[in-house]
Amino acid sequence: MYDGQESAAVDNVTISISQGEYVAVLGRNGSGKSTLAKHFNVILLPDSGTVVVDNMTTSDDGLIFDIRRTVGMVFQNPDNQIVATVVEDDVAFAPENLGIPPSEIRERVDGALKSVGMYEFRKHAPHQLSGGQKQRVAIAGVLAMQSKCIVFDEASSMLDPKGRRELTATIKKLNQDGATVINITHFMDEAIEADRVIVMDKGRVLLDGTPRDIFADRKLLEDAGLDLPQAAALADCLRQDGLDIKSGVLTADELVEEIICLL
Amino acid sequence: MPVIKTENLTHVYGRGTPYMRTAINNISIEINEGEFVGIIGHTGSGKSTLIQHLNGLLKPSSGSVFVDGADIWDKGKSNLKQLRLNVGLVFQYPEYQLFEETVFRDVAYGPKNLGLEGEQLNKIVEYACNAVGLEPDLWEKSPFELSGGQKRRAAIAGVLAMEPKVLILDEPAAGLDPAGHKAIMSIIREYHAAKKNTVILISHTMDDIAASADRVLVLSGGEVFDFDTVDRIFSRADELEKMGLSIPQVAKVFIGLKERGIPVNTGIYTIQAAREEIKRLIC
Amino acid sequence: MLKDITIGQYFGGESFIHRLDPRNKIIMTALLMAAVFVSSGFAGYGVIALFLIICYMISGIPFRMILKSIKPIIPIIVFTSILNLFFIKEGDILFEWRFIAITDSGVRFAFFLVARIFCLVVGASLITYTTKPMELTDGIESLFGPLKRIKFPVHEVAMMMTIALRFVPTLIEETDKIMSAQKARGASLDTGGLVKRVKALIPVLIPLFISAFRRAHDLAVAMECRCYNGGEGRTKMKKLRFGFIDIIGAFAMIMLIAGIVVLNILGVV
Repeated sequence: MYDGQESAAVDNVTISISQGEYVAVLGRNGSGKSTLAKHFNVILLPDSGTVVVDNMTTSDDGLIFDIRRTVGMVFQNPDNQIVATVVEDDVAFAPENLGIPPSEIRERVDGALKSVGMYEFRKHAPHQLSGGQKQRVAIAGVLAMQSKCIVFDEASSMLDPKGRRELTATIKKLNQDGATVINITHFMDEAIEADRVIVMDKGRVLLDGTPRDIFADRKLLEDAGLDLPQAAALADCLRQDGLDIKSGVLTADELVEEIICLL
Repeated sequence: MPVIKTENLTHVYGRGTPYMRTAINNISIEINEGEFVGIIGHTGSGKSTLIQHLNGLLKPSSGSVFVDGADIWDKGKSNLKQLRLNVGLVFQYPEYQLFEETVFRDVAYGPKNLGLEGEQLNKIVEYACNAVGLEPDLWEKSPFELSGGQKRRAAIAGVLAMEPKVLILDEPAAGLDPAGHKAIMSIIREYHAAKKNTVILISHTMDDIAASADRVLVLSGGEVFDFDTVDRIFSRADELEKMGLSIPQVAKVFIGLKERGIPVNTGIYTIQAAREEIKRLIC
Repeated sequence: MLKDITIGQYFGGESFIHRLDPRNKIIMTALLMAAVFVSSGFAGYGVIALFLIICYMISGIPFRMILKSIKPIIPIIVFTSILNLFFIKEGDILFEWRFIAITDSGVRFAFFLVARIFCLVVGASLITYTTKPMELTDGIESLFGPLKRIKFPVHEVAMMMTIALRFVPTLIEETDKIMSAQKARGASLDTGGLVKRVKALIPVLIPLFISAFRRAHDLAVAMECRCYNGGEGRTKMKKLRFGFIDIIGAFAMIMLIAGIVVLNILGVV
């Protein structure tokens, strides 16, 4: 999808993401994750290399809005991406910009709010909502554009555990409904949910594979400033203790099964 | 004598308006000198309201707060400033309060308000910057040039520089990447180990609390759900999970094993303890 | 808590007046102002006052809200009416003491002035009590739409108003937080003389501005991501509709104006 050469932020990245994939992007602060993502919908343009979204090249000026409506983004700070003073008006913002007829906007807004479970809050003011709820409103705003791909740029990092769980569940549902999801995150337990994990370091792609493959390489991960999910770390320790636990255990439930097999 | 004590502390926001809400209700706790106390609870459980009472930023609707045995609202306003210096409070995302031209001057803001100056002031600022691991070449930079993690450290140094008897931190590692998170947590642990001062840590991340705290206060719906040692609190991990808190995966493993009828101790939350318990189980 | 303060002073409801098209309400308010200025006698002000009282009754806005909106301008009313009382020297003298003389036309002018200000404020408050700030913004954007022809940035101004309305509660909350944080670092924000207090605000204002700029930047990027490209080619989900009740409302207003004009022509005082 992207192949560019920016000395500092993103360096010679060549990746391709297919329709319907659920990709998590990990990496420490400054590893270039967010910079990379901002190339996906023409917020940034590559200094060299190209980005192609749904057969459209981002350097083509005439396609900017087609690309932006194809790739929607949800950002870190829930407060700073809500434009309107009423939830439903905010969700309508993108379709209004696209010049969609009013009756269709209404349908899209209601549909989007229902699919993130925020329909009953449609008349609320943003400041009356919790962080997790605001992020779901932001997602509805993207859904109302009928984006094929949604990028989450550290969207959970300012949420409490409950808000994070809500968000993770919503992301999963969107992906099951057919959306391509790119989730940039610091949380390993979110990465486990993905089909594919890309680890960035110093602007380059360090690792690219399934969560099981990625979390098998503890040493490399730690070098990239990342953690193992705790259950995987425990499984790793138990293996070192000589217990016969298969590699690729990621969740607490999987580890419970493994331990029970040993008894 | 406890360094902090609350008696039937209650706070109601917006009394007499349609927005009236009881944020904390009848909280009576005692925190001893030198203790490291963790506070957990879901959003809206009253954590932030509670800690803002401990340094007099909020006035109780009813009940009292004692610091060093003295009721902080007893003698009127004159003592509040002193109290705020004794009980240092690091807010969530504290880097948003940086304002000075240089890191050094920003860190000096608190102690200057205390009346320190000259050599004494420089010494305390240097100490605080070192304590949070800010290299001297950053001291004369503008705080707004620093990276996210460095800004966070500078803001924490600004509170440490007041040498508070009690240090309270509200989610000090929120929003940082895993490496930044670990660094902040180890700064806090080292500070506590070196100074032996009282530390109160609010965190959503149970692992942080498990690794640092002596005792844990669990708040739910503005009331005390439990206040006990880390071991005893984590033995109720399943109840905590039902309250909407996230618990360490290691604890989940043991809850899972117990649900499957395997006789394990569920108060386990660190990898080391888990290793031993599983070895015991299998051998 | 600070964040519970509502912006503007919208007072929720579903009354006839609440449901009027905001454009209509803006025009009606303007007409009411005109009526207030045209009116020249006690009878005229009596009619306007009666009209306003009926409007408040229909809208279900409690009468104490009238007092609330009058309160801040009481000093102005007192000051200007005293000026009129003492400095208008025409007409018959009612009262004289040393250099102070109060005449009957002085009393009349003072009374009309008070009545005028009173009607203006109470009338203008009604629209803010019964119309959501967003509806007002939409109404203004729609009413001033024709000004686009002369390159007046109508859409941009309306968008600025919307964003301001959206972010005021957020920034109030933020101010509250920063003030607490600096107080925790020993700042004295509420003691000392004026100069000292203003100086003490610097540690609050700088972080607040920085935060506002950061939010503005984030918001701009988020708006771009959602295909924002100015007002050109934009549609609106909620169309303003000038309905049957608006005709009734407009009719009532025209009747009021006609009444005032008739009173003026007949010379009723």
